[in-house]
Amino acid sequence: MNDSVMPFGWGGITFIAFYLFGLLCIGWMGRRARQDNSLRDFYLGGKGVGVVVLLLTLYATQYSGNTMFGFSGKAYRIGFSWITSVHFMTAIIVGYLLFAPQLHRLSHQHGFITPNDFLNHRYRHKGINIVAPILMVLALGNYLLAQLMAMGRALQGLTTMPPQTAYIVGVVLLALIMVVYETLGGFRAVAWTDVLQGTILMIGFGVLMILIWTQYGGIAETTQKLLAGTESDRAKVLPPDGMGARNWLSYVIIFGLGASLYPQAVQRIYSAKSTNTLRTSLIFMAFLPLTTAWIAVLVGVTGAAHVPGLDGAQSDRILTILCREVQQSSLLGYWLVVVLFSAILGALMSTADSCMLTISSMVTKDIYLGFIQPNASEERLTQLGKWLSWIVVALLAGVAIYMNSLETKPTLVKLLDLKFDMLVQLAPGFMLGLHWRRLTGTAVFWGLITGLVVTFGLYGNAWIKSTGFHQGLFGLAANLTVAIALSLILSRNPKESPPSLS
Amino acid sequence: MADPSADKPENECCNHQRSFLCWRIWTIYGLLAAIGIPWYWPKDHATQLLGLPAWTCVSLLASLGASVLTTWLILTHWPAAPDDENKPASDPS
Repeated sequence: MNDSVMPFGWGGITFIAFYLFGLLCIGWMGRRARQDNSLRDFYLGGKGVGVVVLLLTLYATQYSGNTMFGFSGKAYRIGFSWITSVHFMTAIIVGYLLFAPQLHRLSHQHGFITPNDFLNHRYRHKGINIVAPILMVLALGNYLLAQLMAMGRALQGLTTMPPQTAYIVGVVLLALIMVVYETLGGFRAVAWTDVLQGTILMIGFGVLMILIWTQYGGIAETTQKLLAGTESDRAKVLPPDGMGARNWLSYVIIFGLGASLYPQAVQRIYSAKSTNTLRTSLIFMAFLPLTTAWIAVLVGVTGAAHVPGLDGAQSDRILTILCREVQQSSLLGYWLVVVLFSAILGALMSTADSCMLTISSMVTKDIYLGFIQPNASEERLTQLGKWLSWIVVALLAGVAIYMNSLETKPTLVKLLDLKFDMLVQLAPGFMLGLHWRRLTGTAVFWGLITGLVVTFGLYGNAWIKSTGFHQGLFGLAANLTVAIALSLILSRNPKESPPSLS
Repeated sequence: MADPSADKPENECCNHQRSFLCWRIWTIYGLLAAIGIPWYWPKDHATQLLGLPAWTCVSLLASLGASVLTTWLILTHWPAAPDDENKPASDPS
């Protein structure tokens, strides 16, 4: 039998089935709680959410399948150096300081629904209204794809089915459950399921900590084992070299500026019922990397010491492999792993459902209402948004299944990186635009285009790779230069009058 | 009696109720990043602390420092809310 498979038996499967059924019930409750058929009600839950829901939906959305599988896999490959992830997850909250207070206030004043609503309000520029939503949809599509692939890999570790069949069943079954509850209850269903998923995720990380501690001894033992191992094992304990340190800095900047602009996170900023709700949630979020990303790193490093020999995308399965060993050790271990597995599903589905809902909102409001049918009623748009969720998920599930059949499978962290190279190009439009009145729409548009051309032009460039910095940061430097220079020139022109910030 | 602070030039850095845009704040974040990123450790440094490589402990402490600083800023520097801020959102239509 494959050593990464955890056949759960009827007890564990029933628990997980109840959990998944619970998600559908919450979707139904979200449907019953709807107040009208408006876009705001479907995509932001009407008047907004309180502290507990906001905190857990932010948490469940930002900590995803990448955190559980991707982070532990990367830590397996490079060792303790991946505490980079603790730093960059903290950097996301620091990034919020640059725009969240002003954006939250504006969103409540003007009833924003999608991230592009702010850009449209601020710049009234047709080019931005086309490029920004497409960019965000592509970036989120990439993220949703990574979650769907992780769902397939999760089920591969759960059953004794042939791996390819288990993968397909995992992608299709979990995506179906997700799209059903999202269609039923919209944002309410997504946020309320996030409360359940976020709670289980928090418990799951606690369980994970106990499991690796009891099963594999303390961290000192792991460190010693790696130090006594091969040259590559020893490198996992030592500090990174110059390029590793530059790559670390690059991650901190690109996450701080790019991941804080996750479109679904921006919508959660809109959905906070009050300023105090947002502030309290961000305070808690500032400490969660230490209880989440750090534990994922410990799992990866422990795996590297005790289960050597996994390469590339295979190492993303280290968590399931460790869980299988714990599961077989005792009855308590079995049930702890069942809870942990539910947490993994929660992490994957909560991130994926938020991406799906946000993609649907942007295509519906920014593209369909903005360019195709400007007179469409709210009811029709909401209906269209629901159909779009099904289409998007069906398409991406197909891509996820196709990509798993490729010989060289992309690692989860690689998929994650591509998204931020794109998203970070929106930073000037949001972060600078909220504070610098002279920034004009034309300047932001051409900055964005320049940034994207540079980013994709440099993709795969050997010299860029050797610097350790993401190509998106080179794109951002070009983007900022163009945006600032053009603004300084154009803002003298009365036709490019500085737009209102309030 | 006139407010003695009225003549002072407005300094966003010192005005806790206005903004996070202050060079002092971002300098501290920069310092924490400089400490947290282990660029200055010798390449073969294998000293351990609490079972972890020493550089890992320092890096984690810097991350904790960033979290504490962020919390303090959110509590004390959050830009002042206009009176109507906590009203429910208006209908977008």
